[in-house]
Amino acid sequence: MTKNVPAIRAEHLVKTFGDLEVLSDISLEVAKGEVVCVLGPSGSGKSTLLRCLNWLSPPTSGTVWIGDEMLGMERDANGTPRPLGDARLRRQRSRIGMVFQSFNLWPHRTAIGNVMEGPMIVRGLSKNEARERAEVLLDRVGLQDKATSYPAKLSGGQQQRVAIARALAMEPEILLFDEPTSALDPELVGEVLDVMQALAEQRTTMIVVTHEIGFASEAADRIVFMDEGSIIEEGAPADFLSSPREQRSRQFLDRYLKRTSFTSFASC
Amino acid sequence: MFNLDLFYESVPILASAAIVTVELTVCSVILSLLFGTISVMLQLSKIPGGYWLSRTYVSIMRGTPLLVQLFVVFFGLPLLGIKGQAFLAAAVAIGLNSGAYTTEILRAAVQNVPEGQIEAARAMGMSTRQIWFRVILPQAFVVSLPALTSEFTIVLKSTPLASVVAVTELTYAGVVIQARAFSAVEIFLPIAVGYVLIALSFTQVSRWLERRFRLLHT
Amino acid sequence: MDLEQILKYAPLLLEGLKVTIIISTAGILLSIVTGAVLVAMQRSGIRPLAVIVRIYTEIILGIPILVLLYVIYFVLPDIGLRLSELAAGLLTLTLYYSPYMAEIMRGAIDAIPSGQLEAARSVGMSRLQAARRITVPQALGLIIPPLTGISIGLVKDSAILSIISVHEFAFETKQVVARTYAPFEFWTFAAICYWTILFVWENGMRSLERRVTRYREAR
Repeated sequence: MTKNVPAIRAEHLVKTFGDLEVLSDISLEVAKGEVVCVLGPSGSGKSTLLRCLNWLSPPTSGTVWIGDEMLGMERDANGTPRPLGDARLRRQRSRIGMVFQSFNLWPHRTAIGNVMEGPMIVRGLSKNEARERAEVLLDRVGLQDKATSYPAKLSGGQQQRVAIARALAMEPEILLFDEPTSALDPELVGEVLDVMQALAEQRTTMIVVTHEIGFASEAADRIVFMDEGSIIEEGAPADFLSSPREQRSRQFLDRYLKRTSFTSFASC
Repeated sequence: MFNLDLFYESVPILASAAIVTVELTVCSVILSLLFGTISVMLQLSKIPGGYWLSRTYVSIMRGTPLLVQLFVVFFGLPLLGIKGQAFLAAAVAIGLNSGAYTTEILRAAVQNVPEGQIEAARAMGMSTRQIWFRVILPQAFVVSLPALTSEFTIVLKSTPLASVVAVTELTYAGVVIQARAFSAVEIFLPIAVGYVLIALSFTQVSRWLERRFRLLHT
Repeated sequence: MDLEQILKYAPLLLEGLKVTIIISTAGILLSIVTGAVLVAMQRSGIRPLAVIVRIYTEIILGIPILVLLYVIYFVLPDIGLRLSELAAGLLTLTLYYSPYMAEIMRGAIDAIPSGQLEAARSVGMSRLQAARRITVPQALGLIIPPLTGISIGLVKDSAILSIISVHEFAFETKQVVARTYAPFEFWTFAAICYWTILFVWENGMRSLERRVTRYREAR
């Protein structure tokens, strides 16, 4: 593998649900160690894009590559693509970590049990190895003292940090975040963003769908702005946030800034 | 009118027959859980034909009397080369019957497991089998415990039917003694009390289980 | 399965089926009536009556129907009450199923918001009028699905009466089996017959429910 192969590359992704085209011809490359934040109004297809990127919801057409391996598809002897067998798809998926908006922790497992599950079941680690790894990760997200708590006993912010540790436990090459702070109470957003910020500083390859423009401006190497299923504009955070080129980006940012100034005014 | 001697005489016999009742109940419950789990997995995973197979099974079991099912199994087993196994026939028949209701109970619980949890497992690369056994079923069983408990009380209450194929459980023993003694109160009163006591201890066990699991989860 | 044999014994089996249907229908109606009495006793405001209903319900929920059948068939004669097989069987079904029927009715009545009854009273309806014009029509829609389930249980349990030689369908099947030595075939045939009847019954009740609850769709 050469050094300039991107960590993940999507080519001409199209996703339709019935007559509705949710993604229209999306192409995106993310380099190793790069942090990309995807912004855009709700319904713009951001979440669908993430779900296509790990084949949880296979795109109608288009291809995704992780490293130099095609995701979810293979070519037969004649070169025609066909869906990949389940076992191989699962191995590929385990290379992509995903953090969900609604945490999706398993309520019948403790915090540490949630983190150990994947390495044990999918990677075949022994219980002790999995526990060691999980302890390190819980420590990294600042929850070593909550290891034996069940999800129901954790705050939303704590649950999401466990979910991040759970994703990290698979040692994924890329981490996908699907609006990780949208389901949290405002006062809990910070602790999750701090963990993500730390990951970004350690050069973890990340694609983050978010509404937290503050986080995007600080942590992202690149911002991708989506609307109506297409990428409208992309660029460095400083450029994009101060001088967006496209009309729709400007509108989105204007509306967003107005809303935040209103909330900050209201909270005075 | 109440013959105390007959009462004292019959209680030990009834007690040993009650043990058969408990054994039959436990075996039927295990089979019910087995059939119910297989059936709910057939119904909800995407195995071709699985849905219809499971629905048909549930419909047949719910739509015919247990007594008839018991005879079909009892006279059907010899056709498979298994002869003279009344206890086995009764356990299988009651287990199959109850398995249909267990299917329905588990189905509701399985469908209540949030889709997101399953996606999280898939995103991690777990196989369908792993997702069923590690994520879905452990939760479904705990959620279903109260409903399963009342289903298994019904299993206990169906075991007297095994007497029609001469399994010497509590009710059968009662009928036999009664036929010899020509007196009924002294026998059927302790039997009725016996069932109520067994049912109560069942409920206690499952309450204890429920508390244990619920504590675990919160 | 030997069709010729089944045809040969069809009249006998049909006779049994008729008894099953009659006894089930009677059992359902009687247990509904008795269930309504239980609800009335419980809601009467007279404490001892309510306690009696509680104890009765607990006992019934605790004992198997076959044991109840034996108690009625074998024990009652000891205290001078000798019933025919048919009467003992019908009494068993009624006593056993009335608490379940009562439970269904309670549930349906409680599900109707009390404000509706207050409104009925406020326009000057009597309690009876309010029950007949407001409670019952709505409760009917709520009662039908659980009633279907319970009545299916009753029909299936009526097969147990064959044990005390009530000449219903399972009993006649047993008779035929004794004559033909083809137990597996005839019991399977019996299962098919029960299943067909109950399938028709269940679907009939479902379409009845749709008709009764049509008012809910008019929104």
